[in-house]
Amino acid sequence: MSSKIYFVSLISKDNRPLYIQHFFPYESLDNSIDRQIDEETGVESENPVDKKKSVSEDDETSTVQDYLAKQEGIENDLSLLDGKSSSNELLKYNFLSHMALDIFESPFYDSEENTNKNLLFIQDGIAVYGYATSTGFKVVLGSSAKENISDVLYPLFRQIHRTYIKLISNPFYQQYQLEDKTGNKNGGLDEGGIDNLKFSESIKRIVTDWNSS
Amino acid sequence: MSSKSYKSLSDDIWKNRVDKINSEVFTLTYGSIVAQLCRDFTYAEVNTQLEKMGYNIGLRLVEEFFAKTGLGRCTSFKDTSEVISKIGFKMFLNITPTVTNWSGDGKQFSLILDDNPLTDFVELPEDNNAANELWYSNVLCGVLRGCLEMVQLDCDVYFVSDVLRGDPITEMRLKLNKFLKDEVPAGEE
Repeated sequence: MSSKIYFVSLISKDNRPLYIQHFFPYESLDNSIDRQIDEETGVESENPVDKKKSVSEDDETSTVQDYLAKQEGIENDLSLLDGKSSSNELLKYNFLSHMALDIFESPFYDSEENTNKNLLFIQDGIAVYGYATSTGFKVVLGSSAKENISDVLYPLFRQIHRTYIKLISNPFYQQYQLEDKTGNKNGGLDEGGIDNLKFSESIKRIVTDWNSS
Repeated sequence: MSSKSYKSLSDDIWKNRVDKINSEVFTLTYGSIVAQLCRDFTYAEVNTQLEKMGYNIGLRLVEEFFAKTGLGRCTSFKDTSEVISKIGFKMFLNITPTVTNWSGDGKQFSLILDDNPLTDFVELPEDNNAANELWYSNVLCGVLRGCLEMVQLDCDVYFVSDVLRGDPITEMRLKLNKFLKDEVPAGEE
């Protein structure tokens, strides 16, 4: 079974995005959706940098411009980006993550950690799996698997969770903005994202190891 | 006592006679102390505060040490170094640092800590020169200074390098200044 993980995204308990990373160039089978997005990026990419980078609290209604502006920042950092990936894919994965958020909050979602109930939905050939903890920390994975691989993914979810725990156990990491003595709001999340290089490397390593096995 | 018997003594003490605490509780508690100090003081002051805290701990910890081990006086500073690394650190932190880099006069040595339970999961903040100024585990220097002072050894204990700062090893240096003479308190005879 050679299912690949296309993306990972981590979301905090008030539905702020923490981290999103994509891994595998997505071969689009459904061209119509991509063309639609192309139109959007064509229009909006005229002035992405000027838009404010911060993502609002109410993520469900944040605009396409915000996504693109964020992608500009993220794209510069991703070392796995090759010529085949595009901001379209990141946009798509962002949309999928947002759809996953709705499911987490729906009454149909069973938040016990059942190993075979993580499949949230399938869209555009990407099967989206979610994992939520009782603290509201959520991991969303998109994969290419044709059948339900929830139990196989469960150890992967646990590994990602452990990496996140290692990050927040750092006494100097501030997940929620605190004012330091000069009155500046500093910390790990000033724009709603995890900046930490080591964390990013660990997540990349975990998923690429899984993808190659 | 030989080096081997120190090891077996310390293993025995660690296994049987020491109350244990969950390592994450310990690490997170120390981490929150350091993080709070960093919010209240500059890094140089944090180092001083940690050392002072360690000193106060050491003054009391040494009594516990002698109660659990029942050891007598060390015969030489070299013997002291062995006891510190093989029994002291083992008993309280379950690590055994290596004793190296003796100076020519036998009054200075280094302890190399290959793993430090205080620094699990810790990364120094990248701003504000933390990597150049803060010695995260400075409390250990204070503890050693306090303990040694209670056995009449006046020592300077300081960090030379720290893995958290990006150095390859974590190294503490102990320097013996003088032996403290037992002073008769004024008014007694």
